[in-house]
Amino acid sequence: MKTIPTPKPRFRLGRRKALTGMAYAAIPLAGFLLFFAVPFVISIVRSFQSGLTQQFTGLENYISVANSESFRLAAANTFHFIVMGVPSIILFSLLLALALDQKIIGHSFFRTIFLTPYVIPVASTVMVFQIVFEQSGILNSLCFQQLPVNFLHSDNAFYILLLLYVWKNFGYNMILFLTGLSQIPNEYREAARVDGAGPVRIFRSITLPLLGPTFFFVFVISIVNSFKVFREAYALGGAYPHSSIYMLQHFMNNNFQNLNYQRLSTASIYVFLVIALVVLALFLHRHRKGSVQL
Amino acid sequence: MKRILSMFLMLALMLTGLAGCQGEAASENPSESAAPVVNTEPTDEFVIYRPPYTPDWMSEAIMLFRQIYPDVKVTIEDFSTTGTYEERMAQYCDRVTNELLSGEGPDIIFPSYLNANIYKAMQGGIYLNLSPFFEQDKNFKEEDFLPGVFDAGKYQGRQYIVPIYVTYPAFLARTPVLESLGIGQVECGDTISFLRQLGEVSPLLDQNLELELMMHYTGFFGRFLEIANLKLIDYENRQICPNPETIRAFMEAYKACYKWDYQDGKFVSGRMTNAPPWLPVNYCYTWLYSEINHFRLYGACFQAVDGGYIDFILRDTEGRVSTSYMYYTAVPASSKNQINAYRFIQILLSESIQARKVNYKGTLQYENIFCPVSKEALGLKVREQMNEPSIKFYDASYKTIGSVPALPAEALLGHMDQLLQAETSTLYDSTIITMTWESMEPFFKDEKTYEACFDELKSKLTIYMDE
Repeated sequence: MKTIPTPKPRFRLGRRKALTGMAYAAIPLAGFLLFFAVPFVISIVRSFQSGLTQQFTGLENYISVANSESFRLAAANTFHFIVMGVPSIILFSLLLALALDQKIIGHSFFRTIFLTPYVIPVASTVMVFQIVFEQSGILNSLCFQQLPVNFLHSDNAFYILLLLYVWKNFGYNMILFLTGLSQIPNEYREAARVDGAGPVRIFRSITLPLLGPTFFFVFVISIVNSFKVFREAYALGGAYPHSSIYMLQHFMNNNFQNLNYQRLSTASIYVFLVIALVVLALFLHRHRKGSVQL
Repeated sequence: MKRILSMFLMLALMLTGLAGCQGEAASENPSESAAPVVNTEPTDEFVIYRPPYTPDWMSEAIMLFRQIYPDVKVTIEDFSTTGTYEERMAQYCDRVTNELLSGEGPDIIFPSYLNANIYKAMQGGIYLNLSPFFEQDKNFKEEDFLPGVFDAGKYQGRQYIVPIYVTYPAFLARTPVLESLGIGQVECGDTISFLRQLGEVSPLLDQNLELELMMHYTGFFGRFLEIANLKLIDYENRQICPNPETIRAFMEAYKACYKWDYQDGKFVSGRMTNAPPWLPVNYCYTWLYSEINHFRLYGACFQAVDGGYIDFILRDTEGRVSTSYMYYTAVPASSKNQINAYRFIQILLSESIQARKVNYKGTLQYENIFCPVSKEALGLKVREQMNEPSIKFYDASYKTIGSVPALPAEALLGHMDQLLQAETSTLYDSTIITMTWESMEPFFKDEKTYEACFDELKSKLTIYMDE
């Protein structure tokens, strides 16, 4: 009599696959835990302690940092920078992406050129800006010879930093938008044109909604990059630059240099909470909105 | 929705609990609640990190510690001997900073090698309060040291920083050169009147090469700001620029000297026109920052050339003689071997280190590089210098090429007496000096009003103090 072979239980194969997957993920996960998760938890713990003796102080550090004029100035400057910088860079890079998406003559060349500032080292970028905007720089020698302006040590420093941020990062955002634009099926636009829609209507009703996920990603990346502008601000103005470009990272970096780890940790937790709330709000908004309805 | 609400409720409950559990002294003064616990339990270990370019006295102090406390295991960490100066210092600074963050690190540190703001570190409970150790130490008497020398290392009445060697702004100048400029009597009162006097004669500098050479000195501003002991930040009372009139007077007095400090950017080396070539003096004046030995040497040279000199210690804006910390030390609050760290400090303040002897051409002599904080050590060095009849000068192969008569004992004792009139001390903060310079330079150049520059300075200092 023939015996029917017992089929192998599926869950054994599934468990093996899961274990294999976990084995591959173990190393990056260990790296994440070691370099992000554990230090993050330590920061949280430190924010409730004092000095090197690590005595528990409750919310004292949080109250002290929140009452600190320099923290408030740094937070205001950072917020001001994000509010002005992020929309500027998104708008500028989107316009360029739309232009290059038209497949104009030399669009590949321009795409490469526009991406170049992103790959230039920060020190070189800053040096160029210093040559242009310093008191003995090119701009003063060309336009303000009689009464040179110290651009980097005045309220203009904020706009110079903004310009530096946009110039440095627009290429990367432009590439992201180009990728998003290339994923929009051309048939939709063709169909809209056949129906009599103009370019503005096509952009508003087809391109923009379908760019939603890319927009979201560029928005988040732009906010992240706006924090990274500290490198340029530090290179331009040092640890204590003009008050208009004194950012949260200056506050944190200076506290690190002054061995004040509890204030540094507290400030970083504040920053984390704000960013987490913003990203959470964005995710909730996208989740509620669901997929795009044309 | 319910889930989100319950999460917020839990967070609110947690925050309420934390707000109620504030530190020991929930006061506005972070230092009080951050006061580290003093541990006088003896231990059998002592860890020290020898910074790059370790001074010889530090190595000798370690050797003495081992001799006196043979049962204590001394762990020494040395740093790279390769790389540029900046690289080596950065390596030391990064290592100490990162280890203190993790609760490890040495039992004794030398804050002058770190980038940390001393007062903020004291405020933040980074350094250990050493006052209980000093109070229990029967051999320690503050009057055995230069008057006021421990002041700069105190915060809220507690001693956190201990000075080892100091500098002082002694000014030595050639009488004939100053008299030729109409400065018969140098106003050696406070820094501001001295700067004013320099400013008044500055238009005459074009006619006098030697005094012009004196003024071509970069760093004048920082040097005088330090000497003036201008209180730009009062950390104790959390005030910015508590004496605005004095600050204004200083800035206006300096303004006349500005063009000689930075404007032309030249630094010209020259020689006294009637001095023998082997005499190690170049200008009509010299600042004696470190040691009475410098006064002994340069005073003798000026005496030999001109038959006299002008010598005084420049006073700060309040008319006080003020010493400035050159080398100083502190104990991290996280140190597990606090009593051994204090024992090491005792050795640093002892005569063996303060009046250290070195082998100079086959004879043991007091090391004449740094000004000790100990009065006894200072006296020993001065008494040794009083015994020599002349000062010899040597060429590269140590052959004598010239000599000048040594200064009389009265001159050396008089100079020492000026130093013993010190009333206070200061700690140099390069960040404040840089901020002040950047804010005030437009005023010196007549590009902005004083008020505009002063407002910018206050704004920067507020950020610096408040961080």
